[in-house]
Amino acid sequence: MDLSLNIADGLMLNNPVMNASGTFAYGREFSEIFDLSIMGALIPKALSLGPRQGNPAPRIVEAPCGLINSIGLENIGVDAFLKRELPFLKGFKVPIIANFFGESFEEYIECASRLTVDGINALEMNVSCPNVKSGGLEFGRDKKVLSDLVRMVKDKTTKPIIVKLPPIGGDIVELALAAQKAGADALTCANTFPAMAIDEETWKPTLANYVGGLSGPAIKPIALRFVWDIHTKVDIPIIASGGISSYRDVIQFLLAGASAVQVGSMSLRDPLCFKEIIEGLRAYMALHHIESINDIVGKLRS
Amino acid sequence: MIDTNCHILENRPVAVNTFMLVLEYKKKIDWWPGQFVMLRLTEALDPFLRRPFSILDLGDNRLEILYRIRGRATNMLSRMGKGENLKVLGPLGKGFSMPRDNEEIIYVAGGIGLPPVLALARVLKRGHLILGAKTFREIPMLDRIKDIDGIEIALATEDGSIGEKGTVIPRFEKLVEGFGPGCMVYACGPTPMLKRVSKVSIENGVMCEVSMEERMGCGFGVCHGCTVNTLDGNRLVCKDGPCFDASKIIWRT
Ligand SMILES: Cc1cc2nc3c(=O)[nH]c(=O)nc-3n(C[C@H](O)[C@H](O)[C@H](O)COP(=O)(O)O)c2cc1C
Ligand code: FES
Repeated sequence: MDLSLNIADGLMLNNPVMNASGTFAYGREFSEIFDLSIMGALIPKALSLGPRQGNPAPRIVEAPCGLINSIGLENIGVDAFLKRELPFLKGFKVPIIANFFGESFEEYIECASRLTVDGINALEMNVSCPNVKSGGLEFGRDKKVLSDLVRMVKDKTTKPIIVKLPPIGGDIVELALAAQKAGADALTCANTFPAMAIDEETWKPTLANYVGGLSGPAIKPIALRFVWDIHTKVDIPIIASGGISSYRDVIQFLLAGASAVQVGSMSLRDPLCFKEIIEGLRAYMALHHIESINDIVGKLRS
Repeated sequence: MIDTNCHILENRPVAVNTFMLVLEYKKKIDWWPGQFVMLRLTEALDPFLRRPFSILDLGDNRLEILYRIRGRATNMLSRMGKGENLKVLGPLGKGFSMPRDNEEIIYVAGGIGLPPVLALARVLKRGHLILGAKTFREIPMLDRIKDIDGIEIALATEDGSIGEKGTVIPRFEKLVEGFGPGCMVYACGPTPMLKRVSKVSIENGVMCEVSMEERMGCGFGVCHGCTVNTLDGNRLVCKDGPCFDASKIIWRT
């Protein structure tokens, strides 16, 4: 039985299950409870050129079957990551995908070029985080801006580029096509959904930032639809992200056309879920006599 | 930190809206007062996130937690019974630090801030515990608290139904001023109380540790949801705390 797959040159995974960026920090905490080398790939928290503080607390709140966050892309910055965290992550012999973002074209480009080092196998561009007032959103919202950005970043790096799309209905297929045309090697679909929570007793917003992004099983059916819509139109591999909580969800996303998946919110609740999901996939394939994980991708029946 | 399944042995009311939860905890693991666990209430996906609970006691195959109903999850928990299953991730975070030998100790607890402070008093077995509540009926297990070896206890209630009428602060000020520097303060409770306790401690040149609360996503340092602003920059309540040197905290208004 073979769970391995190829997303792009230099990005070969032992299995289709990775963590999502931002719910894994830089891997150290998880490494204390399970062996990270079981993962398909590792994706550290989104990096910007310099360190960022993020938004004030409260910046996380429960929602029905999920949560809303307004972390605001707090991170230690590219250079600190390369020096302090990458050597540790490299030890697990699993592909590393660096998630990054910028507030300007220049910052994206500079991040991409600094992250083009040994030990990083691919770059995931976050153009879709709905939390940061001045950040990501604009880049991912506009077809033209997105394709310019992808093209410029592609120019500056030899690593495969994965574009993590913003979850906007209808237009997401247009954005996916634009990213593909501009040279993206793969797409992650999607990010958190714009959301809000209000306290009816105090009449105040629950998050200090007022608004945030919804994640977890609450968004799964919508993410599934996005993957399906994009799969029918683009040719590059799709990595699914949105509410995946079990091996059953993984199978569903693969059938809809995803080649691999990311698990975020679920691992906040159950830090050992990666192991359970990967083992569940193996058992499922054995039970259904499926030789290769690739035999499931896009095989939705009518 | 380990994740383990636990049966409920007891889950009974001990004061208004306040429950004592006892879980069968079979793993052998070190812990220290101030540390907490994340409880998963259900295998279903709603409520989705685990909730943090301070450890009151852990040992002899038992994990004790004292909690107050504050929202949907604690409400659900209060309706669970003997034999039901919970998932327990822990022990998590950094507990209180040790006082120096012979140092005077003051513990200050407000409302449901009691468990970590009570846990520490029970382990250290010396010092003064000042406990504040809205009213007599909100104070859990008073007989047990009164009987802790080596602990002097003082009570304050807002309605004066037991102890001094008002907050814990007047009594606390008197004690701190009496002891002066060279005494150690441990506090947990509502933010306004913590702010006052920390201010009074600093003014008197006294070391004070506060157990902080923040909404948590994970409880083990990966989501960066539980940030607290300190003089050393952002810190995580779940991993760098919950117990912090009060003089380092930049309080939110
Ligand atoms: C607390 C939190 C922080 C996140 N931070 C990032 C981030 O830094 N970069 C990013 O591209 N996505 C970030 N995301 C989005 C996730 O990577 C993921 O795409 C999204 O949560 C949907 O997947 P899920 O339902 O499995 O969590 C974050 C999500 C959460 C819940
Ligand atoms: S609750 Fe997730 S980092 Fe503290």
